[in-house]
Amino acid sequence: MNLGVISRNVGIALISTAAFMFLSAAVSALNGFDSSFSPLIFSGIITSLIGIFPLIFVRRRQDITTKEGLAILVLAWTVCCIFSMLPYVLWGGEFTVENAWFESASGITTTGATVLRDIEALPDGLLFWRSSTHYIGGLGVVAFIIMILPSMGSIRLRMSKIDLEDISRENYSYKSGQFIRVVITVYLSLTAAAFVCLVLAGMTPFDAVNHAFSVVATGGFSTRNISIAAFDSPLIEAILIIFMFLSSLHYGLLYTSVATRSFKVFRNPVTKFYISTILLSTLLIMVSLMAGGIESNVFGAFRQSLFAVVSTISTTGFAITDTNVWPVFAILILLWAAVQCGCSGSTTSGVRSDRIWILAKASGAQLLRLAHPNAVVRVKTDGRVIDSGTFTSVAVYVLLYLELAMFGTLIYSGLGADFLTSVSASISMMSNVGPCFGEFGTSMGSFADAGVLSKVLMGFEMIVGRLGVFSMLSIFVFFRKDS
Amino acid sequence: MKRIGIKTKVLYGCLVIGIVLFFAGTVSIFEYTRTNRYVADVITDNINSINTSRELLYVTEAYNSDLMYELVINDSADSVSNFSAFRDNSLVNSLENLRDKFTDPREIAAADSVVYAYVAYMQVASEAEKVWNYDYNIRSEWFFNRLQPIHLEFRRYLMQLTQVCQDTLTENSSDLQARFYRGLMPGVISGIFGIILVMFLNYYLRHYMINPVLKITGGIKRYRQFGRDYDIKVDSDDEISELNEVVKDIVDLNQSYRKQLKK
Repeated sequence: MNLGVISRNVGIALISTAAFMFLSAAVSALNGFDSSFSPLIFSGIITSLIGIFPLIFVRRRQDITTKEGLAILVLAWTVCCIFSMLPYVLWGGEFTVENAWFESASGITTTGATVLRDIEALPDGLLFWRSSTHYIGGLGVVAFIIMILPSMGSIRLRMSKIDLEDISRENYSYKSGQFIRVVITVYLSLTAAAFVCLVLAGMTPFDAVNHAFSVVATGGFSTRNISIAAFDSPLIEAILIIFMFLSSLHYGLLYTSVATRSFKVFRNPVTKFYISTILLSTLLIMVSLMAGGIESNVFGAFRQSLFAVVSTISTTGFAITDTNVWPVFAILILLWAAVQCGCSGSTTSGVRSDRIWILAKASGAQLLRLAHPNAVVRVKTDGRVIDSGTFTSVAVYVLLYLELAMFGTLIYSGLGADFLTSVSASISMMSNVGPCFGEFGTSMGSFADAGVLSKVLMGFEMIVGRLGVFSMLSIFVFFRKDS
Repeated sequence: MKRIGIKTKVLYGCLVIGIVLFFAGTVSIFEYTRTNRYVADVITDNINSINTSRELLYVTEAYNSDLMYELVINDSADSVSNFSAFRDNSLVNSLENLRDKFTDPREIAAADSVVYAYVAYMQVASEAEKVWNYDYNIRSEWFFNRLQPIHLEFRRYLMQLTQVCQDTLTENSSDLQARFYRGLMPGVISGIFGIILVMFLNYYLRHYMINPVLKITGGIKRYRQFGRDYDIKVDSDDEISELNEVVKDIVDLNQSYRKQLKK
């Protein structure tokens, strides 16, 4: 592995991060040079200079190997999380080093969990920076993962069957540049649309831009202590539900649907499965809330359950109510949603609906083979036969995800958290959802009460969840081979 | 893209480290100056506010005691002349000055309450000359039942203002702590990143400048001593790769001359 090439690409990621720091400093300047101005400007200068440093010495190279690509991916995310801590650490207040690490990792990985007790005490510049970390993370996901992991990308694309122009005619891995343009167009368009809709619904432009950044990146940071509940507006909630849902669909499919003015995205079997999961979960939680006496009004129960389900399954983590007081049945359904999550090709994390769909189809085929041992059973999705390699890959991914989630549960319970808190925190961090259930980190609360070590480990778990189990573990395999 | 030479690379590398350290120093000085000014302005204002509130309390206490003495205790005929001494505007002026210094909404609200309570008190106190003409019982009743409750109210507001000023002082002290922290941290962080940058500079200089020169030297030595082919590859686009190409050409030329000599 060429360390120079890796450092050059990580440097580019740092320069992009620094650009948002300067943007946040500009917001602070517009707000009368609030107390976050110096920390943001200073962080921006330090980050950009350190980002520029490798560009001076290392020349540009086109041929990046898969190993180097994975190393860039993992290091870029980790280093960006470290540098994103700077504005927080420099500003002080509630931000101790571990709190700054947690908040920064939560922002960059688009998890949206917070350690702050009083978010509204932050100056505007820092609030904007907080939301910007989501946006950087979201941009990073759409640009880096799809660019650097072409083999994974081709599987996703085949599953989603994009048939616009020549993107899908050949193996998409050779057309990654074009796909990135598609993805970035969708990302920016969704942000602009979310901003306009939220402003029209009554949010201030500042709140709207922060929430637009947050919702499109499927992050979850809000400018208010009690998240979306602070706005108490069904219209704002409806807009956010729509954008949380859209942001969790395959960006390529969204682009195709808009470009061809068709509903291709909704004809995709994975999308249908994803929508069915949302509707079924909403219905079950609605019944649970009404039966458990939490909500007597049908519309109220529907509103609360739909928002919570879409917010959780899209890994956004916004809240309009305290889900921690909900019946266990409803909590378990939300936990399942946190495991399944949205579609591949979006900014969501977790196992992802595509893998669950393939796994369900494969399980069905296996049962059929047991009943008819001589039958030739082929599993198809959208007319294409899924090969056994894909099944194995999906099964191993799900297994590794569950193993890591269990490992996280074990660590948090060892550090003193109760069972529900440990399980939900581990799943929430691995899937980059944000809120969990139990003692801390609830939908209306924060992770301030979590221990120092828990916060540090949760930060790492968020990064593992963001990069995907394979990318993270591959790095260790490569390093072992190299050594 | 324009090629960057070795000199420029080293210069830029050192410049980046220099800028980081310079900027850290500048931010620290800026924060230190701002904090100093802040200490001088805000803390002094806070202390002045508390002192003025106390002074007002003493003055009105004295005024009220004098009134009580003249109306209830001392029954002499010329005492009425003393009342005019209280009719100056110094108290109101002090209050107005004090109010103008406040920036915190809680302090402004408390100061407003004090001003209104003081005006109300002075309005009732101005009846003293008239009341003095009545007998002792009426004077006592006026003092204890009419003036004293308003005085107590005024006193309560003054105490409240003093408390608010003290609370603001406490808040400003913690704000001051945060400012010192913000003044100190850029230095600490720049120090850490300065060290990291120096380590990076060391790596890049060794990997992209010193090692290629050593490799080229080794290649030339191997060719000269053992006649082995010169096959050195350099991962750069600066004068070192140029040097490598030139050395390669010279070695090739030398090899062809040798072959010609052998023939």
